[in-house]
Amino acid sequence: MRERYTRLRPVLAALVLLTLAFGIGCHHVTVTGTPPGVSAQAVANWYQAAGALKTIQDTVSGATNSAVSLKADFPSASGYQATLLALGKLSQTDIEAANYLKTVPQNWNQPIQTQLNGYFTQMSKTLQDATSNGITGVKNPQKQAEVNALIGTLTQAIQFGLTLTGGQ
Amino acid sequence: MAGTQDFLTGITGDVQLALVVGNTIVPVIKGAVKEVKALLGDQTIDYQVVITTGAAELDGVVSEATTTLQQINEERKAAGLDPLPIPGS
Repeated sequence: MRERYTRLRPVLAALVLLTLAFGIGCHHVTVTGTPPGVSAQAVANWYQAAGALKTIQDTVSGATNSAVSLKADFPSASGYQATLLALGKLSQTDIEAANYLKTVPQNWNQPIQTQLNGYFTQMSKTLQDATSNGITGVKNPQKQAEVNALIGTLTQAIQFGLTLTGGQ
Repeated sequence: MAGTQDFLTGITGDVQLALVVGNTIVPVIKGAVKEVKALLGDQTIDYQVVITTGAAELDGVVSEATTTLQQINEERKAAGLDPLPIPGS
C-alpha cells in the first residue's frame, strides 16, 4: 500500500494542485523592487524557468521511483535500463541547467535564452528516446497509464521551457 | 508570454505560485514564505523574494536530481553497468 502510494504520489499531487487552483481562482502577480536596469519581465521569466526545471525534476524523480517499483513489469531488462538511463540523463541536464540559471538571476538576454533552450532541447530529445526505448512498454495497462501521466507532465514542462526560451 | 498567467493557490496552508500553461498548472515557487502570503492581498511580489525563493528552488532541483541519479546508479551497479556521472560531484 505504501509502495503504491509512493508511485501514485506525483499523479495525486498534480490532481490536488489542479483541483485547488481552479477552485480558488486566478490572481495576477507583479514583480516589484527590481534593481535599475532589470525588468520585471526578465525576473518573471527567470523564476518561471526555475519553476519549469523544478517541475521537470519532481516528475523525473517520480518517474524513477515508478520505474524501479515496476521493474518486473518491463518487457526486458534492457528496456528497464534504457529507461533509467534516460531518466538519469534528464537529471544530469536538469542539474546543469539549474546551476547555470542560478548564476544569471538578473538577466534574460538572448545568449542566456539560447543556453537554456539548449538544455530544454536536450531534455526533449532524451524524453523522445525514452518513450521509444521501453518506458511506454510496461505490461500492466493500469501501471502504464500512471507512467503515461508522468510522461505527459514532463512533456508539458519541457515544452513550457522551450517556449519560454524562444524555441520549439 | 501569451497564454501564460500567474496563479496563487493555497496548498495545505502554504502558498504556491504556479503558471497556467494551456490546461496545465506548472508549479513555480512553493513554501510557507510569509512575504509570498502577503500576495493574497497585494498581488505583488518583491524582487528579492523571487530571487531568494527561486534560488532555493534551484538548489532543490540539484539536490533532488542528485538523489535520483544515486538511485539510478544503484540499479546500474546491480546490473553491472558503469555509474552515470553526477554533474558537479
